[in-house]
Amino acid sequence: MFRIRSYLAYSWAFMATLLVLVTFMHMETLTGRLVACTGLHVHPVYTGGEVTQTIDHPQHRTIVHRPVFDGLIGQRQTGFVQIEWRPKDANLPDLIDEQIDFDQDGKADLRIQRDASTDGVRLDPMDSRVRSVGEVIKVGNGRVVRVNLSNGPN
Amino acid sequence: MVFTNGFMLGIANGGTCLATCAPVLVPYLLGEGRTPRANVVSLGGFLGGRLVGYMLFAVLAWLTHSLLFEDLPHQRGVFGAATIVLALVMIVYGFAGGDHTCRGTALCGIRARLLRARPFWVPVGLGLLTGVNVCPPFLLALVSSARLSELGQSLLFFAGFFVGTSVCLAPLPVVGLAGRRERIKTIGRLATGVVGLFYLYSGVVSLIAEWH
Amino acid sequence: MADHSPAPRRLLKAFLLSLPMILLMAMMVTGGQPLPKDLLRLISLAVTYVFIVVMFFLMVYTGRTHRYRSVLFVVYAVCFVMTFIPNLIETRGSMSISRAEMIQGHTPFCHMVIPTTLIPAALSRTIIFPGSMLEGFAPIGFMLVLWLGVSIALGRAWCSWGCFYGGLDEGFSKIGRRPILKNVPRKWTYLPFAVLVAVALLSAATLTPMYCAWLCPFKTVTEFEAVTSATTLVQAGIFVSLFAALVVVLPLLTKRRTQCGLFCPMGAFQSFTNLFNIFDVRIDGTKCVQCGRCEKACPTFSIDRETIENGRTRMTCTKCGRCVDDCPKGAISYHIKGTPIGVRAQTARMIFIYPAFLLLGIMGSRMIAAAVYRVLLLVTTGSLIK
Repeated sequence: MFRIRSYLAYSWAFMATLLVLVTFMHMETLTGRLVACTGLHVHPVYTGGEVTQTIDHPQHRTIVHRPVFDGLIGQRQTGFVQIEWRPKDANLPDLIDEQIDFDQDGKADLRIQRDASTDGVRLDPMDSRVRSVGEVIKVGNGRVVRVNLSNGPN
Repeated sequence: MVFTNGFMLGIANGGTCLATCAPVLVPYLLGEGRTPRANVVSLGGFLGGRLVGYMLFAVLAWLTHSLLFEDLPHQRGVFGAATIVLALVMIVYGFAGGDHTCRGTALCGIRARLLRARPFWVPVGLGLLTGVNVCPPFLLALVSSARLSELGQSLLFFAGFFVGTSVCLAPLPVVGLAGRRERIKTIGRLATGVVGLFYLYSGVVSLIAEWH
Repeated sequence: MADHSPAPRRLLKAFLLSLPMILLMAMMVTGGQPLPKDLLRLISLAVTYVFIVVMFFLMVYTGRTHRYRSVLFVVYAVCFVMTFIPNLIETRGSMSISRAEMIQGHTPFCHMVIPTTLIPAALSRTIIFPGSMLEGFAPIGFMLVLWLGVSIALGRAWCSWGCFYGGLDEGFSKIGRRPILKNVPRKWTYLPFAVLVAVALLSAATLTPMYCAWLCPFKTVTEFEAVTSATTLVQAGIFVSLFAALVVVLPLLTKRRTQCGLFCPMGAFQSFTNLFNIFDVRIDGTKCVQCGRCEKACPTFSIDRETIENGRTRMTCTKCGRCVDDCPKGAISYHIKGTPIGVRAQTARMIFIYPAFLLLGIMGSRMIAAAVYRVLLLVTTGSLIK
C-alpha cells in the first residue's frame, strides 16, 4: 500500500512537467476550450452588452446595444444603453440627430444629437427610464455614448 | 398592502443588499469567530441597527421628504458623513481591535469602554450606519415611501422593505463556522479594516461633492 | 546536499540531468520557429538561451536552488518592466490606458486580477475586467489557462517561479547585508488574506476589479488608467505610494518580499493551491537543531516556530528554496506528498525544479530576449523605442 502510494505520488509529480509543457504548447486550444466549456465572457458593464441594432446612415453607422442592468445577482436599479457612431469614411457628419428605440417596442425612447463643432452630445429623453448622458468616449474617429437609464416600468 | 409592497421591493433587491452589506458584516463575523448561533445574535444586532436606521429614515422621509430627495447636496452630505463614521468604526475595529494595551492615549477611557461594550454594540452600530447609507434599493424605497402621506404608512413600508432584504442576509451567520480559528479571526478583523478604508474614501468623496 | 564524487563525474552527471532542460528550452525559446534573420534578435535569443541554461546547469551542479532561481527571477522581472513600458509607448504613446481602449476590450489581463473576478465569475460566468477573452495582447482566457495549469502543477510556486512582478521586491530585498527591521508582527502576515476577502467582496459588490483599480502597486511600472480626474489622480497616488513602500522600501529594510508576503491577495489566493499540490517543503525533525535560520531567511514569512515543530512550512510557502539552501543541517528539503520525508530528497528536488524552472525559463526567456533586444537597440540606435 505504501509503495503504491509512493508510486502514484511520483507519477503525479512527474506529470507536473508535462502539464507545464502542455499548458504552454497548447495555450490557444486550451483557451478556446475553457471559454467554450464555461461560457465565461466579459461582463456587459465593460463590453456595453450585445448589439441589437445597426442603423445605416449615408455617412455613418449607428450601433445600438441592449440596455445593461446586469448586476451580481439579477438586475440593478440603474444601468445604461451604449450607442456607437462609426464613420463610414474619414469622419462623422457635422450634425447627428436621431431618435433611438433601444428596446425595439416601436416607440422612440430618446433623441440624441451630436454637434461636431462643439463635440457635445445632447440628450432628450422620450421615455421615463432615460436619465442622462453618462460617458462620451472618442474611439478613433467615432464616438461611443453611454446613456444612463433607470430600471423600472415604462 | 403597504407592508407587502415594501416586502416585495426588499426581496427583489435583496441580492444587492447582500452584496452591499456583506463587505461590512462578513469580515466582522469572521473576526469575531463565534458559533453560528452566536452569529445569529450578531446578525440580529446588525439587522436591528439597520431597522432602526430605516425607521429613522421613514420618519425623516415623512417629515421632510421633499427636502431629502429634492435637495440632493444635503442628502449626499448626510450619507457621506454616515459613511465616514462607519468607515472609522471599521478601521479602528479592524486594525486596532483585540489590542488591549492602551498606551496612555487621551482617548484611552472611551476606547476601553467601547471595546468592553463591543460584543453587542459593534454589529448594532455597523447595522445602523449601513441602514442610513446610500444603496440603490434604499433610495428606491425612500422615493417610494415619500409618496405615502402618513407616518404609519411610511414606517410600515420600510418595515416591509427591511424584512424583505433581511431574508437575503439570513445565511450570513454560517460564516461563523469558519471563524472559530484564531487566524481566521485575525483575517476577518484586518479585512474589516481594509473595507473600512474603501468606505472612508467613498464618504470623503460624498462630502467633497456636497461642498462643491 | 553535497555530492562528494569526483569533479568530472559530477560535471557529467549534472550535464546529463540538465540535458532534457537544455533541449526543451531550445524548443521553447525559439517557439519551434526558425532562428530570426535579424542579427540583433538572433544575438538576443542566443544570449537569453545561454543565460537560462547556464542558470539551470548551475542549479543542478551545485545543488543550490534559491541562488540561481533568484538571479533569473529578478532579471526576468526587470526585463519585463524594460519591455512592457517601451512597448506601451510604441503602441499607445504613453503608459496610461484610455477609456477608449478599455471600452474596446484592449486592457491586458494579468494574473493579479483573478481573485477579484471569482465571485462574479462563479455567480454569473462573467469576468469583471475591460479586456478580451481571446483576442489581443494578454487576453483573459490565456492567463486563466496559464494560471490553472501552473496552479495544478506547482501550487504557490507560481509566486517564486512564474510571477513577473515578484522579482522586483525580491531584487530590492537583496540589497544590503543585514535587515534593519527584523521583527514583523505575525498579525501582519495575515493581511494578504484580509485584502483578498475585502477585494473579492467589494469587487463583487461594485462589479469593478478593486485591486487593479485601487491597490496594485505594479501599476507604477506597467499601465494605469489615464489621470483625467480627481479619482484617477488619487488612484495613481496610491499605486506609487504602495510601490515605494511595499516593493522598494520595506524589502530594503526587512530583506523580505513584503509585497508578496504582507499584501498581495493573489499570493494569498494562490496559497490555497498548495493544499492540493503534490509538492511541498518539509523539515526533518531528526536533523533540525532549531537554530531558526530558516525562519529568519524565509522571504514570505512562511516559517515560524510552530511550523518548524510540525515539520512543515505554512501554506503560504512559495517553494523558492531559500530555507532548503540555508539550513546548516540539511534538514529542509523539497518533498513529494505521499512519500517519506527526507528520503530521496535530491530526487524530489529534481522532479520539482524541472517544471518550476520550465515555467521560469519559458516566461523569462520572452521577457529577457525582448529586453536584451531593446538594450542592443539602444546601443546601436541610441533609443530603446523602435
